[in-house]
Amino acid sequence: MKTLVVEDELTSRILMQNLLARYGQCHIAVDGEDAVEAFRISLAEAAPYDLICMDIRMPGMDGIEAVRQIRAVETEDGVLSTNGVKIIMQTSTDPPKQVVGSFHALCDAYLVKPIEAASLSEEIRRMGLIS
Amino acid sequence: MTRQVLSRLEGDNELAQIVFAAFLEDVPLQIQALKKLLADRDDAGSARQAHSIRGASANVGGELLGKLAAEIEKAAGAGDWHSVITRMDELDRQFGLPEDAIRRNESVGPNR
Repeated sequence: MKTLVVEDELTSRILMQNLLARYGQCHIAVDGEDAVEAFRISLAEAAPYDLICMDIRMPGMDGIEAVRQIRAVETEDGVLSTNGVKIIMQTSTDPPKQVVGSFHALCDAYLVKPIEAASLSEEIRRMGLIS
Repeated sequence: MTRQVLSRLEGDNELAQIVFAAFLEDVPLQIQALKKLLADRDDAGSARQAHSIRGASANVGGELLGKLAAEIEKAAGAGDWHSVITRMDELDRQFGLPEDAIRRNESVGPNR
């Protein structure tokens, strides 16, 4: 499983990177712009990510805009929505309903921080990325 | 605090120590950055920085520090500088609580 962790805060980034390294290769990006760029490169190199774990609130391009752009890149690239990269959004609190609504169609799950190892692995398993 | 973090990490003491070390190294820098943003009266930047401190605190079970950072985030976002400055006096002291707890428990294992 190849994963991209998008997180501006060091402690959370190190936590996620270490948790996800249990399942394979794990790259990091520190903001939305870096994430979209990393995603484009992965497609260009025919080595796409299986999973993106995206923080919502980041300086510069936030997580919601980054996910919108990643889905747009997939559409441009002819990737069917059913075959798109799995995306888990991470947030510090339960996001307001309108925020959930705005990204519900674009992502596959969201986890509330602090991230629990068991919840993360359960979501990844539910997505069929690990057995 | 350490027990709570270990539970969240399924008893992975090595990872807990990595997270604690990152917290001890980075959060003082985040507090300094927040002070600079406050001095510049950057409300959006201050709110965002307080949000990061809140996230880091949650990762190590620093509930009081996280609660204080959340209050600063909310006040900064609303441009309520009086509330922000009042709470900033507490921030350094509150950082000391998880810092002390982490240093006391540096060698704690998952079964202790």
